[in-house]
Amino acid sequence: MQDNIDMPQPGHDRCLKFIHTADLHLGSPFSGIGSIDADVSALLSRAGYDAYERIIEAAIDHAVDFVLIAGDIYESANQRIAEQLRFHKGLERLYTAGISVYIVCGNHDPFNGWSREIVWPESVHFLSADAPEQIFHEKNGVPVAAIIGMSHPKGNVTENLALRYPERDNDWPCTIGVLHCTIGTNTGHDPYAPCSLQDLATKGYDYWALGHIHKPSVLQKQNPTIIYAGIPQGRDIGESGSRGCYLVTVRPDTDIQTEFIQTASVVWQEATVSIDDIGTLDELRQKIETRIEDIRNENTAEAAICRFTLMGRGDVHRDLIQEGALRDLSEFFREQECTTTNAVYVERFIDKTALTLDRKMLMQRGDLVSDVVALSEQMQQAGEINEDLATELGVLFDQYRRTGVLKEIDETELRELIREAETYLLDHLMQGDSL
Amino acid sequence: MKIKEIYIEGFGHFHDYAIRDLSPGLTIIKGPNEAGKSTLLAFIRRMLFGKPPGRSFNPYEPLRGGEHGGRLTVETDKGVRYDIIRQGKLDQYTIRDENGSPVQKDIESITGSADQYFYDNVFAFGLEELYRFETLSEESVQNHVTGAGVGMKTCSIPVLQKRIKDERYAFYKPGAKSKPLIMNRMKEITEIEKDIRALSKTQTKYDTSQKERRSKEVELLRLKSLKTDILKNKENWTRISAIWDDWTAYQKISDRLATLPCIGTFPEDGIHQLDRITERKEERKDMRTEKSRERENILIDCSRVQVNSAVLEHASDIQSLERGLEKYRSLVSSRDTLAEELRQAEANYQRELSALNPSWDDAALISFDCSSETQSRISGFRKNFSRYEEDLRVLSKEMEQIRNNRDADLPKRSALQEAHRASEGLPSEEDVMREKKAVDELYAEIPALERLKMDLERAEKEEAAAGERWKEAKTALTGKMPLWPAGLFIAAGVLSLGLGAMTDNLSIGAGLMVLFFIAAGVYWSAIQKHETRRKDVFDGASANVSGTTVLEWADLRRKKCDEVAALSSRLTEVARKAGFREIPSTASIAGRRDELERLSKAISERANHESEIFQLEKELVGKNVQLVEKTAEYGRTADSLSKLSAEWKTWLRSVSLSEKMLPDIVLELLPKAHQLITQFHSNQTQSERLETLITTVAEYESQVNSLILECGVLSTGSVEGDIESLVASLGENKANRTKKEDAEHSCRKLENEITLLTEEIDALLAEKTVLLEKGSSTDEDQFREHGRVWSEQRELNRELLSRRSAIARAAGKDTTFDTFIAELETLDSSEVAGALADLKERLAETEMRIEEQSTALGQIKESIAQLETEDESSRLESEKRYLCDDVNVHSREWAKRVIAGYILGKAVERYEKERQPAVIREATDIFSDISGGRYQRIIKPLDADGVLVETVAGERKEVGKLSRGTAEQLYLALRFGYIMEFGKHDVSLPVVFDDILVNFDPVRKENSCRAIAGLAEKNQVIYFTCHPDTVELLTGCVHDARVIDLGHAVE
Repeated sequence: MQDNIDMPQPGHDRCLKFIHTADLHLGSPFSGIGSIDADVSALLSRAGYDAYERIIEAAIDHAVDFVLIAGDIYESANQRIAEQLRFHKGLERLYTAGISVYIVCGNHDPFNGWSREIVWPESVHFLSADAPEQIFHEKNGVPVAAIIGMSHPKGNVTENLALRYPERDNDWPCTIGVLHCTIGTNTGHDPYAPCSLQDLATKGYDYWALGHIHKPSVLQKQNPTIIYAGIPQGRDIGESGSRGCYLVTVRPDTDIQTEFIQTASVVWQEATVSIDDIGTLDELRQKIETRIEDIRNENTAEAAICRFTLMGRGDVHRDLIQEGALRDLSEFFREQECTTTNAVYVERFIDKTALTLDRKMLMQRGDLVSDVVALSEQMQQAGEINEDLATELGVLFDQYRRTGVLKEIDETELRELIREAETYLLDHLMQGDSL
Repeated sequence: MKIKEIYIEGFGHFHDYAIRDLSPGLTIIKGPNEAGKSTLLAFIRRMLFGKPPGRSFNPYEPLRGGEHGGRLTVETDKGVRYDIIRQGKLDQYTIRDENGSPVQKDIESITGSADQYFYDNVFAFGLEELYRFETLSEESVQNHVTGAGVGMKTCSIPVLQKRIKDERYAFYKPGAKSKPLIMNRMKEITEIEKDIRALSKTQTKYDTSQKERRSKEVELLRLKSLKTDILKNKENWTRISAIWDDWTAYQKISDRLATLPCIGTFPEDGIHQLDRITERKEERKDMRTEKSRERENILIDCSRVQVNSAVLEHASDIQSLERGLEKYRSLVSSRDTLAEELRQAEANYQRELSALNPSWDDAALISFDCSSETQSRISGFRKNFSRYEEDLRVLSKEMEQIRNNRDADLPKRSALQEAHRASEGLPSEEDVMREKKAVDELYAEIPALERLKMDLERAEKEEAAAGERWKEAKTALTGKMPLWPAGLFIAAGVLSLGLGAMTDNLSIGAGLMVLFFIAAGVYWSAIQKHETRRKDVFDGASANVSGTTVLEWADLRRKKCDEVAALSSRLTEVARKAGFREIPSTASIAGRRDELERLSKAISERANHESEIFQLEKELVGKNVQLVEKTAEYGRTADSLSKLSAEWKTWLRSVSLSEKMLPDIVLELLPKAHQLITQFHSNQTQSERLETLITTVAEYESQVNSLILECGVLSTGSVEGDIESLVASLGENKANRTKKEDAEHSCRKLENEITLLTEEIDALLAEKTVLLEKGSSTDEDQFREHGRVWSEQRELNRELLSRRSAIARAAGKDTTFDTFIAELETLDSSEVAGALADLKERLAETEMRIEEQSTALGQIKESIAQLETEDESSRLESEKRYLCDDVNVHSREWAKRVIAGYILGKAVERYEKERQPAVIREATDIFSDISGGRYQRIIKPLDADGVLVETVAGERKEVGKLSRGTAEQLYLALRFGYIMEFGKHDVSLPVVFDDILVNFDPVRKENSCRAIAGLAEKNQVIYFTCHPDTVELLTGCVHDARVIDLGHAVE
């Protein structure tokens, strides 16, 4: 790389524009690929990279001044080079377009986890892992933005890195903090670099570009604007909904406008279909088809992968609990999507239906059924199970705890399981009965 | 469910046995021992639940025939009737509706969730089952009672619990040998993680590979540099080696040049020039000598050549004759040929002329006109001749024909005339017609006359008979009839015949004769009859007849006679008209008719004859006329022919041809004549031509002869030979002349050349002198020597320069020549060779190392490229994630079942703990009733299988402490409790008791009967008993109970 390269000016207007993204997780696998057809599998396998490419395209198309990437670009634990090189390729394009890139490393791609052999373009800056680093982004020799960020030095940072960020200086232009952190609890993510909104707000910055939480969210609209960009391409049903990046425009009067740009090729979707008022399996199919069409019409990505949860009570439940019924239903809809563009693929059907029954009446029967219902009710309300049952359940989870494969059953899920167990029992105990 | 009807096809001793209209409440079936009560109980059990398990059971084979099994007609709680049919294999059943149509229904839909064991021990039992309390404790019974609480028609609690357990284990079972789903998935995950680990660390590999790549590139660079140096060195030594020979030569040349003398100047290529000059001079000298000799030879040759001027003077003539020789030959040949041809033509001509017409000569032939006009004329003659002759022939033929026809008609006419004459005597047609008419009338009337006559005759006969009879005695017929009419007839017939012969109408005559003969015959017969009558009369054959009769007959006779007379008169007139003298007979009439017919024909024929005769005569006249005309024409034609002939002959004479010649002959002669004339002219022409040829030939020969003489050439005796001689002589003389002229020319030319050569030689001598001077030589030898030295010097200098150049090139731009020379001077040849070999070796080694490094570098680059694009691990990660997701889903399914099993277990436990006493409570009430209040409670401890009973006093007793009867009552009460509890939630099955009250005392029996009555209000109860008192008691409790008597025992 040559020194003193004059960056071509990306835009003529006086607004500052940048792309905020994070958690690219390039090369991260997708769940449920094996069960869907080869075309979808291919789509999923490149979806992450496609999302990244779309971010690049968006940056170039909008002639942004720079791109902020707030960590977790790839999984450095796997020590794979392919993702880093693909990432590098995209950065090359931004460099060619005259767009700078400012990166903080996250817990999945800490500072020391990158290849030493890759020579990054001049316009790419990995912010320091030793301490928060400040860089002025200049336009025509004039600083237009102050970017402060600190990379995770290692994979399991538990320190509140936000506290180490400097407070804003008065003569600083638009000040942007870049941080890979966890705000709040029960985020569904590991609580690395935990901090609070207050920690961020007190620094006096104009914008906080955060990473780590995969669901895009605007934590605070202004003063400062605090945003999690979210993962640009959902990987499983747990990362459902629209995914993308944020185009941030800072006007001369420091008014900050944010625009969410969808980048996902595949949108994961959760949908529920009620079997209330449905008498036959065909009616259910039709209802599902209608729902699929709604999803298709709403979907702006190339494809949608949908997990359907069947809810409600009705006689159709009897058909659904037959062996292979849900599988057959999934295959039925997948086959229909084989040659369809803007496909909506069924990931799976979850049956949470039950027969139509009057719980009060059941409980008044004074027989085994009422006992089952009463016990189930009691257990659901308690939200916990007795020791014998816990021990029995724990056998499986204890055996495989070390593998980290099995997720523990939390209280909510336990209640749900108790309810399902009740439904299971009632299905068998009350075959042929109708109440 | 209630049993309405029992039909046994074959079961035990029952065959085709039916029990109908069972009571929905209590039905008492009574019968003595061995009547079949137990058999019926077994039948009901088997029909509802099939064969009992195991092998030790009484199959109740049909002893009296029929198919094993039967039918049970039941009515469900909803009032629907079904027939449960088991026949043959009792495990198999058929259910039919009340119309007898098979229905697809499971029997459980009728019997509910009860199984065989439950039914046999709780609902349909005898004393044996009653006494066994443990049967009530069986899990099956307990579960059925429990299950009944949930309306489980198709799935029992144990089945559900087993199912839950099986499904759990299908997901996960610690220590399972066949891997459940979760364990299988975990194993797969472990495998994939292993694969992922193997593929991970690509970053390290990448970095390492990059370092290696750089290292290899540096090493490669170094080796390439080394190689460059070696090559450079090698190039240098190669260069030295390449010019070593040059250097050696350079040295030698330099040394040699030093030894050579110094020559100031020497003309360029001086020796060569000298050689050239000398060569040229000698060459010219030789040429001059040669030419001189040649000139002398020419002169000598020229003197020997002789030329005949005369021949040369007549060259054109000779040539002309020569040119004409061929023509001469041709003319001679033509002449001879023509003469021969002419001779032959002439002879031929004469011959043919003679053959054509001996009287003709040439003039006559020539004068004969063979033109087309003549031909036409002759053709005209021929045509006319032909025509006339033909006409004559035709006319002659016609005439002949006419004559013949005419002659042929004459006899015909004569015959006709003769016939006509013969028929002159025939009457006229009118007469004949008239007669025919008369004959026809006769023919028509005569039968009437005959009838009249017969009547008359009969009348006469009668009269005569009467008269005869009357007069018989008196008179006899007088007189005989005369014979002369008959003779007259005969004569007339003969006369007719003769007349016919005379008039050539023999047939007519014969016919008339026959008629007359017939008439004669008739008359003769009449005479005979008369005679016969007369004879009869005379012989007394006549009958007696009265006078009146006679008169009557006479009147009648007279009447008839008058009629006959009248008719006869009329008919006689008619007969006369018909040519009869009198009324003829029918045969005569027929004959007459035939005769008249013949006459008519004859008349007609005569008319025809007349017509024909007329026609013939007319024809004859015509033919005669024709004949005359034809004859005249013939005459004219003959005249014409004569004239023509005369004309023809005249013409023949005019052309000197024989008068006998016919036009055809002359026509044939014409072309021949024409040909001969042509031949004649041709001969003449040929003759003239021959003359011309002869003349021409003679002229030519004359020319030749004269020319021979003039030229003085010896004649050969023939024109051709002479011509050849002349030509040859001419040619020879021409050649000689030319030769002489050429020789002179050549001589002059040679003289000029000799002169020129002499001048050149002089010039060359002068040039040589100059050259020698230039070469600083006085003589040639010296010059040559100088030249040699000079050449050598020059050659050496050139070579020296060349070597120097090579050396300078080898030195290159960077090294000066002197420096290079100085370097070379320090070297020797062995040193040079050694250095090169050493460098080659080093170069090969270096190249090999470069190759190795390049290959290694390529592999590293390939490895890097693979690492850059590797995504297999990503795919494995995806698969692992999928499996993890799947495992989690399965774990939830497993957990659900664990929880479900737990809940179910707890529910069952609760039910058993809290609800099962309901059965005990029911049983307690019943037991208390049965026992007359002696026992107030039944207790079921939680930790014991058995029960206790508590007296009113509060004393608890175990079952073992009770009497058999009380125990049975207890068990019966418990069963009642179970039946009632089951019936609350399931199908109310029919209860069947097989004389279970036998051990009960009267009071308790009565109480029990009341309990049975109470049960019968909800369940159908069928009670088998052989005890009349029990029957009485039961009927006393249940007034509408149906009692069925099985009758006597079966032997």
